[in-house]
Amino acid sequence: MRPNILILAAIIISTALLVSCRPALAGSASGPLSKGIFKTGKLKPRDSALKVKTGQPAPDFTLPEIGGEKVTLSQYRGKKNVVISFVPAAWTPVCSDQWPGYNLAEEEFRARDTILLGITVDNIPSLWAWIQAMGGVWFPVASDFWPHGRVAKLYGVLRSDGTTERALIVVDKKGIIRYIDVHDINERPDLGLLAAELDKLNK
Amino acid sequence: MSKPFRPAKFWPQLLFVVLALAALSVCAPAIPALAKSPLTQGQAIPDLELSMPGQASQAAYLGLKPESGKTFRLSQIKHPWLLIEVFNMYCTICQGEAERVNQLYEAISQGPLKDQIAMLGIGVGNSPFEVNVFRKRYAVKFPLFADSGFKAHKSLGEPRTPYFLLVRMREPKLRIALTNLGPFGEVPKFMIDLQDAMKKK
Repeated sequence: MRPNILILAAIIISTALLVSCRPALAGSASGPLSKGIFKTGKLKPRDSALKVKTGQPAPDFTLPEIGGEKVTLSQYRGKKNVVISFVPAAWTPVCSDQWPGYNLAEEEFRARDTILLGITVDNIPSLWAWIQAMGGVWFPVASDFWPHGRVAKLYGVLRSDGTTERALIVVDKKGIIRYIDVHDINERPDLGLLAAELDKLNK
Repeated sequence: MSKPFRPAKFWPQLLFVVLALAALSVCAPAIPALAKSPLTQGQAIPDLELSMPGQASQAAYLGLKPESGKTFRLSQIKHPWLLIEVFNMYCTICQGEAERVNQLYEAISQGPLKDQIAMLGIGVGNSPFEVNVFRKRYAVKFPLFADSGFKAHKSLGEPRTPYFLLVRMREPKLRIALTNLGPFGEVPKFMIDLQDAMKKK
């Protein structure tokens, strides 16, 4: 009898522990997002060597975006300022709330005559699923999956593990790079600082 | 002479230990999150220092005098109760709940609890610009404050967001009467929860 009781107790305790360890009710990501975020832990803040600088023309590129079209940087020349937002990877912390925040701030970008262009090195299906879990975003999201990280490498923001830096690159309507923030990958850049840089373009 | 050791005799105990350790190891990644302990019902909260509201009407709502300084402390708020929403502009749950929180504010500020409960929000990890984006996007009428350095967040035990705290203000210490992690559900029900908490000593 005693062994049976112990086995039963072990099963009950194990089950209770497993159930109690589910993520907390609320977090910085919600719905399908909150269930799918991979915990990366603290990463090396920066792991690449930048190949572009402010004042130079932004290297042009064309990438597939999740809507099935292609997006080319130069298509915005003469029309919109562009904020290129590289984020390290889909389904990872920080990235999974950075773009929902930018989604909320759509009016701030539009008021500054600016389009946001989101880029990751994920493939289209993964990227599409991640954006759907966010509830969609107003800006184009492009995949730099193949050749892997070609554009990230062109700008010098491809990390040694194949992900990208958390980087913001502002390109003005003439196609010139006006601001670069290769941020600590573990932290989210302040949107206020980016807005201040965009304000400078429109003065 | 001692009896020979027979492992089979101890298999139930061994199984117990193995299963418990297995469960703990699976839980290990989640334990740091659980280790953070948000302040909860019955606990005192620090008399947080926040920036004075920029709008005179919002300072007046909290019973503050803008000329008294660039900052204020929670204990200066005139209402006997304070409902704090701990939020983050980037938090999609906070975004999804914003309209409902606005409804809650309307229910409080237009009803019999108008002079009883003041409401404010603290945007943890958000700059003033980011808090303002949230305010504009959802037309939030109650005062929102930036906590860009996570100072207030740490003082409150680093809760996940959104987190709601009802604070009793008229005691030697500010004391929590109710907390709610995540969405609070329907406004009428939460209003009842608030009123019930206010009745308790």
